[in-house]
Amino acid sequence: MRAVRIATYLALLAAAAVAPMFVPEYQTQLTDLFLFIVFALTWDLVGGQMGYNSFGNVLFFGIGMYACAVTQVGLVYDVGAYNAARGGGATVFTFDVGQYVQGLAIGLPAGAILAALAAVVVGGLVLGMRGQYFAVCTLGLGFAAGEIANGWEWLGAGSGMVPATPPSEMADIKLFYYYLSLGLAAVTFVVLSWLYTTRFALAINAIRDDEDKAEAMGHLTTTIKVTAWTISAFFLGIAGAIYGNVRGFIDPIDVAFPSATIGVWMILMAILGGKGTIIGPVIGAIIFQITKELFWIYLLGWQRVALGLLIVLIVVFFPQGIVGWVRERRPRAVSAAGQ
Amino acid sequence: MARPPKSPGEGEADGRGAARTRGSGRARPGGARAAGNGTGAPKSSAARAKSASTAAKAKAPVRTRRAAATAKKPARRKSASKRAPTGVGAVGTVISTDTVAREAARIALDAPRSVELDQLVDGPAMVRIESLRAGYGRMEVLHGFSLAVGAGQSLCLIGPNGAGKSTVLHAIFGFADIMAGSISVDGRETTRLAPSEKLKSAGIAYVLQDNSVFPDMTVEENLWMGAYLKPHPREARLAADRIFSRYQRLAERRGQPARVLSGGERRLLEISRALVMEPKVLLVDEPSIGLEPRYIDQVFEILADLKQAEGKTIIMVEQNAKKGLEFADIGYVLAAGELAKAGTGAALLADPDVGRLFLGG
Amino acid sequence: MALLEASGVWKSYGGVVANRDISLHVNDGTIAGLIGPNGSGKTTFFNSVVGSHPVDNGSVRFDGREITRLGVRQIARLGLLRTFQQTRVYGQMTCVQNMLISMSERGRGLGNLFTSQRSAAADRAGELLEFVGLYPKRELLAGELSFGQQKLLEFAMALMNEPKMLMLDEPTAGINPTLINGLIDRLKRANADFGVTLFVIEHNMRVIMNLAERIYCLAHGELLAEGTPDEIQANPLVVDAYLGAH
Repeated sequence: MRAVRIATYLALLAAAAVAPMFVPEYQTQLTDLFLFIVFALTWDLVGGQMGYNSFGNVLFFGIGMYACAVTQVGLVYDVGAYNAARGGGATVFTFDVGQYVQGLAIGLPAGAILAALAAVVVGGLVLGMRGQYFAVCTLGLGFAAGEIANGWEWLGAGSGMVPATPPSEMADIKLFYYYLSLGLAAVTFVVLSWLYTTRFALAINAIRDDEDKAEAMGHLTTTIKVTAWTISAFFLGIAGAIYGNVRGFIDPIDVAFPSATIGVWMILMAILGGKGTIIGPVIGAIIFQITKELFWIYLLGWQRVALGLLIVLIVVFFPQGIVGWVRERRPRAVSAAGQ
Repeated sequence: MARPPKSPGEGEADGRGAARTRGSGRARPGGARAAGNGTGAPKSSAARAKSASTAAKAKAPVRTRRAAATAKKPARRKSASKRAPTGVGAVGTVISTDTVAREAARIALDAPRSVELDQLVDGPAMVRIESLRAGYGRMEVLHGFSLAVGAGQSLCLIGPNGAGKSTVLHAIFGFADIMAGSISVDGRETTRLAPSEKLKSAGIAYVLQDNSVFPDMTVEENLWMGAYLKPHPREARLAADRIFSRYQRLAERRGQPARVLSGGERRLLEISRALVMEPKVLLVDEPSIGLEPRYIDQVFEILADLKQAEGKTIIMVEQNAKKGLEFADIGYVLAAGELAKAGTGAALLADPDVGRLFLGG
Repeated sequence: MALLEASGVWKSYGGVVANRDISLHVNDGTIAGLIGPNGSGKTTFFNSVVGSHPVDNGSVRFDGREITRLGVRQIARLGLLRTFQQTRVYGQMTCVQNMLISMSERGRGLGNLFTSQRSAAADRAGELLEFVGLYPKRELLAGELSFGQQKLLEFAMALMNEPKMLMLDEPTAGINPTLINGLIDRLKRANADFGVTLFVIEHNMRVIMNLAERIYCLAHGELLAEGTPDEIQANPLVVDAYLGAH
């Protein structure tokens, strides 16, 4: 059984690797999909496996995005001047290949580490709360993230920020980011799969099922919670860093929860696929992305209404998600945590 | 995970060939009691051993003594403990859950048929269950269970944990999924009725095992909730007043939130709340669980009163099996989802197999 | 030597004094019992000891350390565990997982959690599950077990943790009498072979009188009497307040 599963994953990976040759018109959507998979997987670690429904993970996404962009630009130019001069300044900000590659090589880890650090700091403050109090508090985080991005001039404020422009010699930068996103999704999946075979996974499940009992058995619940959130933030930070570069433009709207994009989509995808499983968020991301693209193509003008309805339908009628629904119908197989 | 070797505490010769970790299955090293002849000597040495300053010191002498002890029979060990005061009852008979399950399955081969079950019933059956298969979701817990109890009679379900006793009550009331079979109350088929219908028109009330009072409502409000299905609130108030005039203890606390009630008072409230709709059949899941001894007596007095003075039919699950069988007219032994044995309460109490396997000796 | 020592513990809830000036001790390696009418403050006292809530006054010492101001987690890591009256297990995890996550965490840091679930503890988990009769159900979710089975699982989880002292809140309520004998046997063995000190709240006289060496009786929040099982059973105050005709 396990061999079949691994073979399937490898086949999918191979298919994704060769897809740009066969369906190049879908390359952008697939790149987005790989990043969405990371969004969903990282949210599920804290929301599904640990039971702490966070509406503020978008904060870490945004930190990763901005931190990478700032690093990429800041290594070469003054960030403030760069952002102030957008579209109309005398200087043209170019990056040569060496600068660009270096910027990215330092920017990605910078995004990851800063996002992780933010999780440690914020987590220490916020993870003492439980249930709905935690959820509402993270909602505030989402708002705060948006407001900061919108108001901080150095980061470009409401007009957003343009990440470092790739030099013209790096022609197929889009393809590069395709494989980078695929790689991140694969690595995140593998790391979390491993994590869900450790006792750490049992610990976070225990916190979800009965945190008082976990405390009464002596578990270091706060440390465990902060660690889980930090792991989540680390990968989410990298995803954010890549996302900014793929888009070619960083819009503060993406960073804030209330605007009903990535902040809420990550929750939706995990629920749709099946909370608390390793494969659920992946399935959820795939179906969500396909559906969203179809809505955008065929229901243009009404796509957001349709998406909103879809969200309501999922949460009301399908809270157990696809994996949960399948499990209810099939005999229970021997399962390890996170299956 | 690989099936673990039989733990050292299960020293019975069961001939299954399972790996035994120590000894030949006769002696029980590390057993709870020393020599099986019940003399005073083991007690004082054990006590001496325990008061030794380190656990390590205490272990060695006790263990060798126990290793040398010979049990009377391989299948079980029974020794009168000299530490407990007289009249309290012994805990010497230790039988593994596996053995209980196997022997219960053997007994179940001779399980009574419907005809024999009917012989226990006084008059026409008030509640009749035929070949019930029931469970939760896709998990079937009861495999072809039948039951019959007459009006004004009481029936007690006993058996190992997980046998399906609570599931019988759940199925009657509608909290479990029924896959096959039928249930009828007072001649009327009730298998697929909704729980609210059962309470309202079929006259069945259910007292749950768990804490089920509404903690932030007052005692009085809890009773009114019991009468929620009555057509008029006035009737609910009258019913509540009737309860208060009967049970002084509840009346004293009528205005207090239910969460301040102690265990016995809470149970009393739960039973009273079920009585408010004046049901014909009362399903009680573990009436005495968690209650102090005096309250246990009180609860059974209340139930006896309901049976005799008001002719209510009572089906109960009770792990305090001795008390349950003393009270009930009929007793059913349930094991692994099947009926193993049935008889009058007194007959089951006197049955040595039942005593050994299900009543703790 | 007293492993657990409570001195003058006071605790009030919303105007009601639940624990009034309670002083008692449990010696290392012994089995003590706590009995008393419903509502006499037994579970509240347990909560006071393990840090579930702060006490209003008094002190609690465990293994020579002052633990009055410590939290639940710290006290559990010192080796003082408790089970709950309303059974608590991890409902969405399998029985096996419940057992594996109940391994002792004492002396181990966070890093230890990043090891595989299938470890040496798996055998011990299996053995304990077998003992309480849950081995065939080991891959079921704990939430799917019946009440009595969940109670047995909680009991097995507590033993899995190898505590220095285990405080059990009505461990046999709702358990089949034959299995109760087995549980008592196992408790006595945990006590004798592994030196686990036990402090047990019980209403089942058959259990507590056969198990405990020293019994404390609470009534109305106060310590009413203490002594050996014989002494307690003969004590007129206890008979009056609690035992009745038993």
